[in-house]
Amino acid sequence: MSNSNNLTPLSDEDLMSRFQEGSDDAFVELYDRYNRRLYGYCVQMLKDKEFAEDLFQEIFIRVARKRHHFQGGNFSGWLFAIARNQCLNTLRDAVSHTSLDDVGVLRAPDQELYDETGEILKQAIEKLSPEMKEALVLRVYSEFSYQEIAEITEAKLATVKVRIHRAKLRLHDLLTPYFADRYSKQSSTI
Amino acid sequence: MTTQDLIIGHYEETLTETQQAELDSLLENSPEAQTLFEQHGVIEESMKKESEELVPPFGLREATLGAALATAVETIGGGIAAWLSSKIAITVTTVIVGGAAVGLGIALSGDDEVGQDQKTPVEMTTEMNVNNNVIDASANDNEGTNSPSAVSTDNSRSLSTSETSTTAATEPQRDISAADAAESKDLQIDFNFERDAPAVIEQTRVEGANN
Repeated sequence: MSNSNNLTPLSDEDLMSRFQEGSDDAFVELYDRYNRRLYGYCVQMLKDKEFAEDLFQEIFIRVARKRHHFQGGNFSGWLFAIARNQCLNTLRDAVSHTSLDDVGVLRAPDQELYDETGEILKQAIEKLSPEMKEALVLRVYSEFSYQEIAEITEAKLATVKVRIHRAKLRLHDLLTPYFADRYSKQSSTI
Repeated sequence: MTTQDLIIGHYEETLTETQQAELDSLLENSPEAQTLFEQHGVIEESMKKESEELVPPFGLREATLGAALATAVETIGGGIAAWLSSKIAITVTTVIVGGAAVGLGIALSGDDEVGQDQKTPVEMTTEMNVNNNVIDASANDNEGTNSPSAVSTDNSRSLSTSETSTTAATEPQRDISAADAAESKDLQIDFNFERDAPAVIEQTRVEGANN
């Protein structure tokens, strides 16, 4: 599955148009452009790599199957709208909601700074409301602008900004015990 | 705006110049603000790092592309099959309906005369109008109302004065029928049996004797 370089300058929408006309290379190029962002979204939303990989694959299969439904416009928005629907269906069907609430008091494990923060952060993100979590994941892990997130989630721009802002405030609140532990350890070491 | 709002705005790159200057001032003068700033920095950095590390595993690319492109081919194949199926279904339906229609026609063929006599109300009305108009035309024949110029005048008048559709529809029929009547009148042979038959018989007998 190699990709031809002459497709690189084309826009997503042009690539999709070519794929609709039968160009497999155009689809491969689209895959290469979005696979990381989409994978990050799937993993963060499902918190289960196996589920995430299945979902990731299913999304691209759906894009291929529904390619003629794309009528122009913003491809990334269309792609992530499909991803979002698939993700919500998967969550509805498979995810046990108890895991979201069973995260206990966040304590710092004895690891390197970012590794341990990363682990704590994952747990903290799960404590966010679904709307805040989704907006944050789309912002941080899928690198979308506020406007794009608003389109994907069908929310107002201001709402998206507020969700992301509150998500970060909430994350900080949830990580406060961890930071306190960390600073106390640092001060005791000194 | 609180200090945290300014800090989050800083990392989101949404602060105005004034707000950024306000945050800078806070960070210079407030250790608490500096601590908050660092903590948010750790969160941002951790998320960024995790985001960079989240890469689809080796093998998922080939598997995904293979499955997706195979689906695309299946979709095309399915589309062609669906198109062919619909065409076949239409053809079969046409044959069945056509056959049924022919069968029905054969079944009713014994009632042909009855069928010919049965006329719709529209046909009956039209026929009556034509018959009436033939009489009218014959009556007006000498006045020359069925000349081509009269026809065109009649038509334009009918349309422009918004007469009823029945009138508009029958006016041209009237002129055509009148013309036909006039033509058939020209072709009539002036033959009276009681008056002319003996003479014809006699003439035939004479010719036979001569021959």
